[in-house]
Amino acid sequence: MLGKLLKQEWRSLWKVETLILGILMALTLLAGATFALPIWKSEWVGIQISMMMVVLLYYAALIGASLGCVLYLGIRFYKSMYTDEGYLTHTLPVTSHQLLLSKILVMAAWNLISTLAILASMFVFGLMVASAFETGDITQAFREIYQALRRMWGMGELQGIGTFAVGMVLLILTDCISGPMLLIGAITIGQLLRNHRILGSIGAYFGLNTVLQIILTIVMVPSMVKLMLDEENLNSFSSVIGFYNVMYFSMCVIYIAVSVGLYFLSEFLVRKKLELE
Amino acid sequence: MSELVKIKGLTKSYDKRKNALDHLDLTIPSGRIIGLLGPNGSGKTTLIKLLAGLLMPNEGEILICGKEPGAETKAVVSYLPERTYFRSSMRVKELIEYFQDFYADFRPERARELLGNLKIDENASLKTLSKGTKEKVQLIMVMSREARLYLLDEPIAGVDPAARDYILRTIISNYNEDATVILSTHLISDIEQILDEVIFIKAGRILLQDSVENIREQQGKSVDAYFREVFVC
Repeated sequence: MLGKLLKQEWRSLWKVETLILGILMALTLLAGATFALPIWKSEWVGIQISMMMVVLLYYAALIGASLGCVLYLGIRFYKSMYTDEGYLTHTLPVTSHQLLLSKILVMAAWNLISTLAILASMFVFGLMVASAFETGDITQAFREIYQALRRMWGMGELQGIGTFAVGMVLLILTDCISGPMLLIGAITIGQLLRNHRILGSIGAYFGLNTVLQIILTIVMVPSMVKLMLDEENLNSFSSVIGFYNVMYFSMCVIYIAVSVGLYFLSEFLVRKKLELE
Repeated sequence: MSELVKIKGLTKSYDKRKNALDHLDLTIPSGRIIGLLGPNGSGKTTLIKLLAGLLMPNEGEILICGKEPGAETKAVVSYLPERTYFRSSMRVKELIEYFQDFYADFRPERARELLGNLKIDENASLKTLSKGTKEKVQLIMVMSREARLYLLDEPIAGVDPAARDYILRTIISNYNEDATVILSTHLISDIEQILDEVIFIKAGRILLQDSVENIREQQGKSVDAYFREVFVC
């Protein structure tokens, strides 16, 4: 049944999510293309502000797309579980574990897709801007960066970079799961209220986020203080990398622990406390 | 007739002031069409939602085919709520596929035949259909299952008399004869002719459970007239 639930869940989300990311890509190309216009080479006094405006508008599009994707995932979860559509969802012959897992996996997949799309958009935008202003060969810049990194590697300056990359990937992956899990947990907790359930869900979301931030701060502060206190550490690239490695892996563990906790809480609430109006 | 549903001491309250269902005991046999009758707020919808697994009881026990409401009972219970509950962006053919995916007892050919009788296009999106047509599509989907228990909450409320006839015909001619249909309504005169049995419910308690034949014989009046007498304001 999990496979069938995944199929139906994907069908209910893909159109709007693809539309949002499609619009982002179109805006990226549009914003990037404006930098190819000859007007930027003019001497007009407002040119700097205009340029800044285009960049700001592009950032607004990035934030809008990112929020839009997450918001739509939350709205779809709420509608399919706790509004009229819930009458169908909760009368399917499936367990609460199957139901929640299908939603989490598809939401996590879309979170990952939107993260990759945003990274791709930033890369394309950066590339378009750079190629508009760079008179020389753009590939030359990449070659120089690569050679600088190789030099640092040879001097032992990049110690821990592999772990850093793995930590980064793991962090993105755990964030893709913990994000939807926070949404699911908050919306499900909000349903415990008799009235004002949407407000309750929003309140629970901010509450859960605050708790998560407090936990992250408590865990991060000691290693941050240790790094800051020793000036030698701050000047060493590998020490900074080492700090980030500790930070990323700690964050991953916290995200996983919070997600697992919220999953079992949500499953219990769906199984034992369901109250469809 | 075997026992299909067994309810013992079932209590459900939405707040501390009043119980929607109050220590209710009930046994429902298989192979019957049962009218769940009562005034507004008597607990009909609450009882149906508890049977469908959409609400959790505060106290008591529900057994459907010997099992508590859950994934196994949902596989044999076909539920029609009193509202439109399908995602409006779906097409009718997607709904058929959806039911076929999840319910082993769903008969797509029967659904297609019933939709064809009403000339409802399978490619139509639900959002383009009128409220009445959507309700008919819902009924067709629910009655195209060969379930053990059909729970129909107010299936004829708010529809015109011609549509009522269609709905009742669909119920009678499509339900599995070994199954039981529980039908809640307060439009008793419209459904009386199809009922085998009635349950009168008031303030969360069962007032009466008897066959329509007995009521007519013993009270010398129709179920509708007897209902008006029992629930006189």
